[in-house]
Amino acid sequence: MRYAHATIVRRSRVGLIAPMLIFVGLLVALYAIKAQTLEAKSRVYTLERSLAHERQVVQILSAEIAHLESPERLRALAVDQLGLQPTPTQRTMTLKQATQELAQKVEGQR
Amino acid sequence: MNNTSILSGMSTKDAFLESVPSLNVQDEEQKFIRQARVRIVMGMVIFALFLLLLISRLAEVSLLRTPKVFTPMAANQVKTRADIVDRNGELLATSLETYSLYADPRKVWDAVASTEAIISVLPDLDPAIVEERLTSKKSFVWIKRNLTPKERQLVFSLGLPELGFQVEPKRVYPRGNLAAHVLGFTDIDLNGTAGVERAFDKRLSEKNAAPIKLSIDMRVQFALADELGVGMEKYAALAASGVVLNIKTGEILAMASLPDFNPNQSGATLPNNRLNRASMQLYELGSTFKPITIALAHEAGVVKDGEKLPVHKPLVIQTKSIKDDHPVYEPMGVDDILAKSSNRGVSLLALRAGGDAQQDLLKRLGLFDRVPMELKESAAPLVAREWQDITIATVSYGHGISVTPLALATALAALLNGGNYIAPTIEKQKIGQAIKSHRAVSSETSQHVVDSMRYVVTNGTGRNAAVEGYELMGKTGTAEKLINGEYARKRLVTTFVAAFPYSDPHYLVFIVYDEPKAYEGSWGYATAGWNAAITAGAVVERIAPVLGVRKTVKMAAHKPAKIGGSQ
Repeated sequence: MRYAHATIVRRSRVGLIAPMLIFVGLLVALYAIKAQTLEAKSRVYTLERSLAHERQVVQILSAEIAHLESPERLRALAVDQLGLQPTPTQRTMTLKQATQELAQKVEGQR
Repeated sequence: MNNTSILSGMSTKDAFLESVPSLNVQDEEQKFIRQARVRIVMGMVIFALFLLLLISRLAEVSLLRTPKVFTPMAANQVKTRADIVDRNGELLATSLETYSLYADPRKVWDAVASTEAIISVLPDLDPAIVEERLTSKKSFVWIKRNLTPKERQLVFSLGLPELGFQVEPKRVYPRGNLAAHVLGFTDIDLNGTAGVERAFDKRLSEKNAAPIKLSIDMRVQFALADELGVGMEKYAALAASGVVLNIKTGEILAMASLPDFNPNQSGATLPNNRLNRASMQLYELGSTFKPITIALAHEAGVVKDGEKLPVHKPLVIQTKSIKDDHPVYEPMGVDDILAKSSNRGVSLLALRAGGDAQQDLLKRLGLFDRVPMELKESAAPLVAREWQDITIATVSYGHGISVTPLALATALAALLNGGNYIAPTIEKQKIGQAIKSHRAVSSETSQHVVDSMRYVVTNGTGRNAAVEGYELMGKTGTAEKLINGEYARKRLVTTFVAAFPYSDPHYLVFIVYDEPKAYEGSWGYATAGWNAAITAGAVVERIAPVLGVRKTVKMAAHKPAKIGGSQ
């Protein structure tokens, strides 16, 4: 009888402690997952910030390129450094004109 | 049970005496056991409570509470604004992150010392204002917005605890003055206040908005502004403006106004420089109105083929004598009236067509309303209230009506593109996109105007604009400025409208000079043929190859055979 009573008490203790342990285990697991999620989230924020920073760098570089390529600056460089001028139409010719010109020169040489 | 045996086998006293010590011992043991049990139970209860507390706390922390993630500088908190690019995707306006300096006056220990320190690194600030801000009762005051990286570093090195930085976007125009009047500018909080920035403010402010592609071609814009700048200096003009239009689509390829400004420093610019003269300045634009009168005559059918008008005879309307700048000794046909820019000739044509027909045509050409485009900077015209004969005559040669250069350029484009009025647009049109237009004149009338304007360049006042190989059409316009109700003979507004190529008109260039002067080699003339026409030719020479217009081998001289005229 005493043995049976002890067994019941032991079972009831196991029945109480085991769910508690499972519950605590689940909580710990949940906490760990949550901690990992937060860490991942923090990493996402960091990456997003880094992305925004890189985008900003690209923006700055694009603006710098646009500034360096601005026609006003290129014109000044072309005129001052290379001595270039806008091409007047008298100095350009169509392919047809060039062919005629060439044919005339060849004819003249003969 | 023990008590029963005691009572049955011994005397009560003996049994009692014999049994007392063992009972005492048992009671003591029981007592200790009970106490121990109580302690154990209490310990267990305390332990259980502690465990419960621990578990509940763990549950609270892990399940209910979400700790804040540290975000050092969330990019999405900074206001963004989409880029503006030209029709080829070239960047015209963008937003960059900058640092703005603020202070918390509550943390200021010594306002004078702090002011001195700040001024030592930011000398452009007013010390009095800085000190006033540092001694205010507020918890946040701006010291300087949009610092350069170097300025930020210098302020940072001061190590003043009351100072802080806030990330703020700044609108940047990397091309400087180029297309400044078209692009406009924003205020310090990035709200569009002028130009495209204002017109497309909502679209530009949307999150992750795509860049706005303008109809402007940066190369054409530069060529136009550059030539206008050269001309303004050479002709000592007060101001200049110009427009380049695609007359098939209504796209504004370039729109320039001088003097201009740098939109990166829009606040430091004179209001006069910020005025977009191409779309806001009203002028009596003079003889560039005459192609409209030619179109009116054809639309109204008031000219017979080969007819010549008596332009050599004096013309007086309501006591006002209509005069011509160029002496005329014989009657002229319609083409010559335009080529020699005869005021009498177009007055006679307009009077024949009548005021109603003239007003109707001007309305169809949009000259009675502000130009219907996206930009808010579009001035409404000044039109006479009463349309008398003298009004008909003066309007026929561009006086008595004040419009913007863009308005007249759009109206003339309608006469040259087959007769359709297309509202100008500053946004790039997609291929196949429906174009809003209405018929202003018939295609036959349009062809007459095209022929007549070609004749002006080959045989008339527009010869100085001729560009070899690009079949230019054009018309000069010289108008006296109306000063205090009187026309000033020496203060002129000169204009030239050029369109090309003659075989398939596609582009229109409109040039305006405000009070140009005669120069060496102009024989004392300051009329349009000596300034605006030359600039228009120079612009066409530069932009035609850029726009892909094929050069023709020879300039084919137009022979006006359809509607008569002297040669």
